[in-house]
Amino acid sequence: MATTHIKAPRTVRRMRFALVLVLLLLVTLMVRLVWIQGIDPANAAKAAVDARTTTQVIEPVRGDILDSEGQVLATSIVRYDLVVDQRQVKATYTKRDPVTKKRVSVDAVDDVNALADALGLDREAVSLAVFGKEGAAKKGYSVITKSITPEAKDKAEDVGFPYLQAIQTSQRSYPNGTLAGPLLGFMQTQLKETTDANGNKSTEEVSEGAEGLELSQNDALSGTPGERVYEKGADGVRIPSAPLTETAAVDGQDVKLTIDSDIQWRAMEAVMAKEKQFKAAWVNAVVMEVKTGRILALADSKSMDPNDPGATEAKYRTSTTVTQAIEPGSTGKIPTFALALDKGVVSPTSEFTVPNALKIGGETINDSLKHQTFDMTAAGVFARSYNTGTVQIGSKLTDQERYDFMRKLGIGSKIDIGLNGANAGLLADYKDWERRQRLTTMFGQGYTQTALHTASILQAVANDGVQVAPKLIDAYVDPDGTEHKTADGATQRVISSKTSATMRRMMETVVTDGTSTKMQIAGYRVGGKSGTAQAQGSDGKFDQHTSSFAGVVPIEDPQYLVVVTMQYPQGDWRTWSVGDTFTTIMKSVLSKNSVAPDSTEPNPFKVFVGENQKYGW
Amino acid sequence: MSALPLEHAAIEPAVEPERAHRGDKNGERTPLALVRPAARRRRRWPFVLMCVLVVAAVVGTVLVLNVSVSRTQYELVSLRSQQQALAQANGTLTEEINNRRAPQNLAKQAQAESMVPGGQPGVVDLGKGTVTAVASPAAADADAAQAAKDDELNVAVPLTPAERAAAVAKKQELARAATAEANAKAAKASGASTETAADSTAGEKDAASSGKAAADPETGKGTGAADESSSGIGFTKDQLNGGTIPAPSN
Repeated sequence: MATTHIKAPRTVRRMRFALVLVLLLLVTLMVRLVWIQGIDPANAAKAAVDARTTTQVIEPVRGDILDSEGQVLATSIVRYDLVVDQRQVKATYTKRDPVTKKRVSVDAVDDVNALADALGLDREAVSLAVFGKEGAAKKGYSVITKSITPEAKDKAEDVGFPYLQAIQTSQRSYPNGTLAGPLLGFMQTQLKETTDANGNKSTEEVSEGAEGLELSQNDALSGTPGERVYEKGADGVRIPSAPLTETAAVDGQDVKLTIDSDIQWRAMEAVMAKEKQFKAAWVNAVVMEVKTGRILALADSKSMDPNDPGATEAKYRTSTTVTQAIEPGSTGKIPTFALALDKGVVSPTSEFTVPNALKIGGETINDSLKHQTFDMTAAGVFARSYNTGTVQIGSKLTDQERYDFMRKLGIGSKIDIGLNGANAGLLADYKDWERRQRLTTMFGQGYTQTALHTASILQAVANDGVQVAPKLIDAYVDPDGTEHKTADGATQRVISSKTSATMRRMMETVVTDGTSTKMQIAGYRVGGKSGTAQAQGSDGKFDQHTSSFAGVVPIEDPQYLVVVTMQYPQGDWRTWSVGDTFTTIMKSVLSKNSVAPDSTEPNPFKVFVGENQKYGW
Repeated sequence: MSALPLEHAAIEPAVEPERAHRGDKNGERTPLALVRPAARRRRRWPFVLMCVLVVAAVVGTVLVLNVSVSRTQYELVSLRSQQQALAQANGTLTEEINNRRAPQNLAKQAQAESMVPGGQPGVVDLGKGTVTAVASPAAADADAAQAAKDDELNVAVPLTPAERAAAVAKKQELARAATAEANAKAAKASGASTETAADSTAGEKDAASSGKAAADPETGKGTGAADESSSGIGFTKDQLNGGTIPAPSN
């Protein structure tokens, strides 16, 4: 009995001891648990999460550039880089034969050769990329070829080389080639070094707009990158139950232009033909909607293909219509006559004696073509573009009046339509005008402006005297298709409605009875002004010329204007004409936009004083 | 369940003597001590069965869930691949259409069909019933006639996607050749010790410094597995576009 008595407490003691031991262990565990989970001085939990967490940037899709009808001018396309991890490549491996369905041993060299043939690349080069140089360290990222099409990628993958990786990339594409190239600009890929929060430096390729609209609209086009944060296990596979936070990328907006691809093409065809005909340095054309200032075409005879900008001379990677300021020549008579009429110092029928050469203010002004002395109307002087008559009219205005008016029309200030490198033109302060410059500024010499300036001035004069700021960007289109129209161009009245009507009739006289009879278009009433300016050649001598024409149709209620400018034409100046260029472009604009032919007859002013209107040149 | 009490009742007498005997040995506490453990032992089997069933049910549910999750994953992979294949086909067709509808190509096609720009249009005023402007046939229009005479068009026709890809490849080839030549020259100039300089050919980057290396673990794994399952052959294109598990990608 005694043994059982002693035994029982021993069991109890043992049990108690075990219990205490277990409890102690439990308490230790609890303390440790609280220590790690609750207090966590080493931030272990965070470190663990950080180690598992991967952040992936979701690249937004760059917006397209569209023409006024939604045709794609610039877009992003999918391309692939083929790369290989040289460290993984084995000399032989097995794979299943597609025909016999049996596993066969394959020599890597055979597959690499087949791969090179499929890609149309040099076998040696591909082999070098896959296996690396003899003796050199194996690379984890070796490029076989870059930017191949999805079809080429499929072909390469069909070879069945197991170590081949295709990495998707995005490439900018301009499906219309040189059409509107200088407006669109191009992209540039640069290596950019970034430093993250931990001070780790990393370089990555960043593509940004480098020129033209790609540059100026970069913010709207590029969008905002998104982010995907997830946890992954040691094997690189995402842990499905772990939290996943995803901030979607906001794709870039499409930029919709006012450009009409068809008219742009027609204008380009015409100016390129003109450049060829007179071996000119360049020819450009501006097509604009008179009532809104919307630009339908900015055509350059030397046009860059944004897919390969390097092939074009740097000067022509931007549009000459906004970057090249030239002395306008006789189209520069438009401001002089418009202001003189608006101020009421002359009327279209005011009479002037117009000699071939005129001594005025200590300077002699000549006309380009020798002619007898005529008794002409002011409208006649404008139509026949006589400098000697023009300076008589311009002299009725003060220099300041003319200077202020030219400034108001925009000469000497940049026209911002979203194209970089816009040229302001040069217009010296009237106080600094030299004795001869006082007179030459009346007929378009001694100051410079771009073709777009000329278009904008004609627009103001033709549009009832109200100038509307030129506009190239019509709208921004969200990825969901919502269109945000840009604000209408700022307007300002530059001359009275009555002066505008008179100027239009005078411009019609130019085409019916003046210098520009070649610019007539059957069925429509055309008005405009031609200009042949003396131009400083690239050698600095004034031995070159600029020939231009600016015209509107229909003259009664102007809808469209076309300005054609030809720089440095060669050959006999008497043959230089941009008339057919103007009519070709204008006809395509009229027919594309279904402008009804005029039902009224032309209503020109009398050119000469008296009954006889038929005098030779 | 109604059978259980009956069963208990039937077993009870058989066990009773044994317990009674044990009870005799210890003395007084016989009746209560004997009955209780017997009752407990009899109820253990249903409890164990229940436990097994619960465990089986839990394991089964987890299994079913896992299977369905992985099945969905596979479905996801195949759908993603399908989506990518369709997007690729769509992209290719869009590229081709954009190229074909370029005005230069339209003009070329029109010219091939002997078309010329239209002449002067006539206009019928429906209100007044009059015709303004005399329509002229296209051939009679001076500009149109001139355009028809000029056989060649001035604006260069844009390259088709395939031609452009070929041009890009050619450029790369030239660049590669140029760097190879430069490397060879450099090697000649400074002896054989220029391994590192010659190693860095244009366009190739070290994995560590490249942003693209982030994609390495996933894709690297995919190709590693290909050793066993032969990528490229025996799979459709759709299947090739995805990985084993849809690791998040753009």
